[in-house]
This record gives sequence, structure tokens and C-alpha cells, in this order.
Amino acid sequence: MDTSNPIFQAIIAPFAVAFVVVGASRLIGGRSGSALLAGLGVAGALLLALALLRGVPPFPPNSSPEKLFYLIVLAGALGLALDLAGRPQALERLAILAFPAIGLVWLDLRQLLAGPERALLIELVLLWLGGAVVLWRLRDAAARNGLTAAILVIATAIGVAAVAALAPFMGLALASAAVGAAMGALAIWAYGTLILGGTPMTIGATALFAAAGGLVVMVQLLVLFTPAASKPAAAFLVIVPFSGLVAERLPLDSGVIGRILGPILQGAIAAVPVLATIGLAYLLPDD
Amino acid sequence: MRLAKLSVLTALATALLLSPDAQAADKYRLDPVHTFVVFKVADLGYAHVVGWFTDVAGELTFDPADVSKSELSVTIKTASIDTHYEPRNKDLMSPDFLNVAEFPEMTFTSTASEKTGDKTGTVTGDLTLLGVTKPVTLEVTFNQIAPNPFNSDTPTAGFTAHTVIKRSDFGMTAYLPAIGDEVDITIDAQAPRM
Repeated sequence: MDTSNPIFQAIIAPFAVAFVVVGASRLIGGRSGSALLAGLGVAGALLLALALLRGVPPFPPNSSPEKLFYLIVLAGALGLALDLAGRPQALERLAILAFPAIGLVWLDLRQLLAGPERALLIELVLLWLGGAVVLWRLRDAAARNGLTAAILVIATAIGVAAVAALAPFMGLALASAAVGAAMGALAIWAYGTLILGGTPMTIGATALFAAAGGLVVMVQLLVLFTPAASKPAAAFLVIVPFSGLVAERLPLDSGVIGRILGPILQGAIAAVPVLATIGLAYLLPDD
Repeated sequence: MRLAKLSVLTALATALLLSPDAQAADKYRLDPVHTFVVFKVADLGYAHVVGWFTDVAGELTFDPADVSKSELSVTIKTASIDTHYEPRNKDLMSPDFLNVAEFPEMTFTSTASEKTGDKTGTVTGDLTLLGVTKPVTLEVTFNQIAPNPFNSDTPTAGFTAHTVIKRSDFGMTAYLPAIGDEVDITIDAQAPRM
């Protein structure tokens, strides 16, 4: 296997690492497994992918793409702290509001220190709002059903990857694909747990913040530093996690058939706003 | 008589100083229309991608008699990259490569110059690319300084320079090693005296 192949770096390696670690987490913590260990598997898989794709950046990082690695480290650390603290709701909500702001300020520090224009400040506020809304929505989804949240993160990752690829910002497309791959591994275990055990697997804050927080930062990078990226498409990505609200209202029973079909239908429903996003990115590039 | 001789000598000296081959350090400004910064980088082992930057500005202080006093400063707008294929240009302007939104310029400021031959020398300086500053040495060939008949006979200096840099030294690590790390740069410049 050619380890310098971007497909290996962005998809195969993070999927394999997450699959093994999340699988191991099922052996720990009894029936419910260890959400914390699973989260570390997702975060570790994502960081491994970034290290393979671009190398571990110097610290302090110099450019915005280099900061992505450390912002995902921060996101994972925030999630880990929340998981260890038992996920106190108030603190988790504060983290959801704070993390997108931290990402924006650090990514755009040069321009902020140089005296930003009003248009940039408005853009930053909108990006912060969008990031906070997405994290809030995914947290709510994860609280009800970890698999649903995983599916929504995967769908969002596909959307981000497509918008990035069309920009083009291929490095970000691959990083986003890595999020999809890592969460895909978790989703497979969650799906198996749901079908065989009948109970949904829990997704901890570590997995959620590393994966979804990573996607939020990636969209920030895309909008702020990729002139040709489609801003309408990037804005529409906010809709993807809300497709779960539609899926949750599907009239499916709680039997085996319902448990098998439910996630598949959720994925299909989430695909609709993703396809719309891709269409927007193709038709409305920001040239 | 002595005064006459002195006058002639003074006149000769003045003529020399004012002539295109003046030995003093003169200031020159790079002619953007006649300055070419061309690069090539290995592409998947098949061949090289070749491109150039179309927005280059700079000033040169040059004394042919004492090259060590020479100074060069150049600013290149990174968004002016052109590889003859617009999708690739956009890719190169993205944060994967030149990250033009964050770093709209790259600069070179000389720190030392040395003569190595009759018409050759080296210019060492600081190249700042993607916010990272590294020393780079240019191998320079001095072509000539002569009146430019297309520019009102303004004395114009002409140089060719060459260097090789590693893009990873500046944090540009995307797609290594498929896209080469070494970037071969050739510069041809004309600079009318200011």
C-alpha cells in the first residue's frame, strides 16, 4: 500500500485507526462501551490523517492551514475535558459558543491586528453564528442518538469536501474526507450496536468536538482564505445537520426492520441538502 | 595651461560619471514589462509544470566597480501566478500552495553580493514566502548596462539570475513528493536607471 497516496492518507488510514479504536472501546465500559475512548479514536484518526497529508506543522503555526491541525487538537481537548467532567450542560454550551470564535480569531489574527474592515467583521460574526448553530444542532442530535449525529457529521463532511474540491482547495477536501472516514468507522460500530443490541451507541463530546469542530474550522478556512470558494454553498452547509429533524419524524417502528432502515433513510434525507450544496458550489462559484 | 588641463580632466571625469558605464552605485527600477520570474517544479515525474509571476516590482542599487555594495529588493504579488491553465492557477493560489488571501506578496531583500567572475556573481538575501523568511542565494549573470534606444536612451541594466528553493522550507508541503519539493527559479530582468 502506497502510504503517500492521498486516498490512503485521507480515507483508509483514518478509517482503519478509528475502526480499531472504536471497536476496542466496545470492549471497555460494558454494554455502552467507552464513549471517551471512541472519541479519542476519532480525534486521533483525524490528526493522523492531517499529519500524513501535510506533516505535523510547526508550533506556533505560521499560516492558517497549519493552524487547522492545532485547532482540531484544541477541539478534541475541549471535548475530552467535557467527557471527563461528565458533560455538564452549561459548560458544553459555553464550549459550543466559544470554540468557533476561538477558531475565527486565531485564523484571522493577522487581519484583525491590522485593523479589519466592517465587511470582514460581519463575515466573522456570520461564520461564528453558523459554526455555533451547527455544533449546537449536532450536540442535540447526539444526545438523542449517536448514530444520527454520526450520519449528520458524515453528510456535512461530504458537503465540505465537495465545496472545497470545487474551490479548489484540495487539501481541505481531503481533510474533510478524513472526518467522514473517521466518523464512518464510528457509524459502522454504532449501526451494528443498534441492530444487534437495540440500543443506540453514545457519542461523546470528544468525538463530536474533534469531528464537527474540525468541520467548522474547515469551513472558516474555506470562506476566509479561498477566494474562489462558493460562499452561498458554504452558508448552505448549515442546513445539513437540520435534515436530522426530518429523519427523526420518520414513522419507523423500533423493531429490527426499523433499526436497519432508519439510519439508511436518515442518510438519504441528509444527502438532499448535501446535493443542493454541491449544486450551489458548482453554479455559484465566488470568482 | 595648468588650469586648462584641470578643466579638461574635470570634464572627462564628469563625462565618465554621467556616462552609461558610470562606476558609481546607481539606482535602477525593475521594468515590470521586461522582468520575468519563471519557475518550474517536477510534476508526478512526467515533466515539469512551468509558470511565472506577472506582477513583479523592485529596485536595484548597482555598482559594477564594487558589486559588494549592490542592493536588491523585489516584491512579487503572489496572485499574479500564471501556469497557462486557470484551474491550476486557482489551485496554486489556494491555501494549499501560495495562500494568496493570507499572504498577498512574497519579497526578496538582499543582504550580501559577491563577484565570482567577470560577469557573474551571487546575491544572497532573505526570501519571505508564506510568512516564512529564509536565506536564498541567486547566481547572477550581469548582461550589460547600456542606453536603451526604446526608452529615451536611459541607461538600463540587464541581469539573468537563477536559484533553486525547497517549497517545504516555507511550509508549502501539499502533495509532496508527487509534486516536487524543489522549485527551479530563473529571473530575467531589465532595470532602467532611476
